[in-house]
Amino acid sequence: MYRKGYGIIETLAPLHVGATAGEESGNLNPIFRDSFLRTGIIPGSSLRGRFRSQMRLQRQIWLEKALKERKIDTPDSREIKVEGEKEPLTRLHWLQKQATELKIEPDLEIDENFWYGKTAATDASDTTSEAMVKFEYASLLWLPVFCPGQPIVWVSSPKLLKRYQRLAGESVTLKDGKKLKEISGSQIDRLVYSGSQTLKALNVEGKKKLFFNFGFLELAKGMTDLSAWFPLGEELPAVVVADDEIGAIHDMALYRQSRVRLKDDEKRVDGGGFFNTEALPEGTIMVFPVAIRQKAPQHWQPFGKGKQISEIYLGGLESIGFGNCEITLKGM
Amino acid sequence: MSLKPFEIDRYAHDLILEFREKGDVLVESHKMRMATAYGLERFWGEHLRLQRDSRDKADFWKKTWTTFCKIMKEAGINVPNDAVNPDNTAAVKTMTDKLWSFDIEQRKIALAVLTELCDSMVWWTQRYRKSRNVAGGAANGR
Repeated sequence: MYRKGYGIIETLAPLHVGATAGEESGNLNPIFRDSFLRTGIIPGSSLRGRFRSQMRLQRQIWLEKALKERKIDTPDSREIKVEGEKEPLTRLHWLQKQATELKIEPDLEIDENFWYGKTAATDASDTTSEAMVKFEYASLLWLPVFCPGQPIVWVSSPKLLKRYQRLAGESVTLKDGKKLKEISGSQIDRLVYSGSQTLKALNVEGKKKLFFNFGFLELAKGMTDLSAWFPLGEELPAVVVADDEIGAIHDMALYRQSRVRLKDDEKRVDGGGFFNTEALPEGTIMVFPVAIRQKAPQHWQPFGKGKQISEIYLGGLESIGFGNCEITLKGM
Repeated sequence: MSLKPFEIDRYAHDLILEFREKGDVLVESHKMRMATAYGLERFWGEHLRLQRDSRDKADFWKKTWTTFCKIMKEAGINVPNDAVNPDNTAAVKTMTDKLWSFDIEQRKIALAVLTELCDSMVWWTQRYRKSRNVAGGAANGR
């Protein structure tokens, strides 16, 4: 029924994907969290929305070009008044209408309504359609944490590794020729308190220890080859901690700031313009699954023909420099 | 062996509570936080200077250092902590020699922990400090 692939997100800037009303209140802006580990996630709907808008732009550009080739003048404004229509049309709707009249149609490859599902018209909830591409939420795989003397160590836990294994197990081949999915659950559990080969832990009183600025742990299992668990190829300085510890470490490692909005005409805080925000730090590695319905007649190529990697903005707070990410699609 | 927290916040809390009744001593925690930027040696040396003009402030700095040494000892790192009379030049030299020759890798970790301890102390200072003019809580520590 479905072809399965997955995406790897590497944050190039702090990333904030937060809740709306309810979880977020007043000036506290927490990120979305997984309900079991309390580690950051990106909801599948956020991913889908971002991919949709990417493709919508592609389609608009295509339509503009196609109409230009037919020597049709396109007005510059975002909203265009059309005779006989009550409301002005958006630029995209106007382009689409012209194209339909001329019987030119963009390729399905760049039709966001086809891939991500048609949104309902305001008063007709039965006009939606099922998406060809489905997303699940993106979970953490490796979270960079400040460690004095290191300076950064990437941290994960068995549950996070197991989710990655479920998504990528078929497509990742290990050095010994086996597939990632063949690693047993208990083998993954045994990785707790092992460091990667590239980690240089400090030798204190004959024990290998790793220090955070809020605690320390002994690398009781020493150093292990963790390269299979790094989807982008490079084995980073890393450690696996227990599932009941990752939440606390995650909370300490988040990028947190208090920020203000200034008045337009004075260098003073705008009344109530004070907010605390948290974000996943730069260098975080996340993973999300993608399922494509078998009956899809074409290839899903959200970044353009043959492109598997793209820089993309996710989440909110772009205006304070958040959200720049690199997504790598795999197994499509 | 699992992750062991240093319990920095609890130690910071207890320190602030202990020195709360000693006049205006708590403002020192802001100065401690600033001193961490200059390294362990300067932090340690400060209590010697203060012994000349405020015994309480000197005690506060020294007790903070001792607490910090205790935290590090739990992690297996022995930070030097000699009791030194500022008039005894030889003793001062012995202690500072120990600090200067303290392993560089361990020193980086120690400094990060000391900084974290001072951050926590500033936090508790802002809660427990008895302010002269209550409004605003004199959060800048002056």
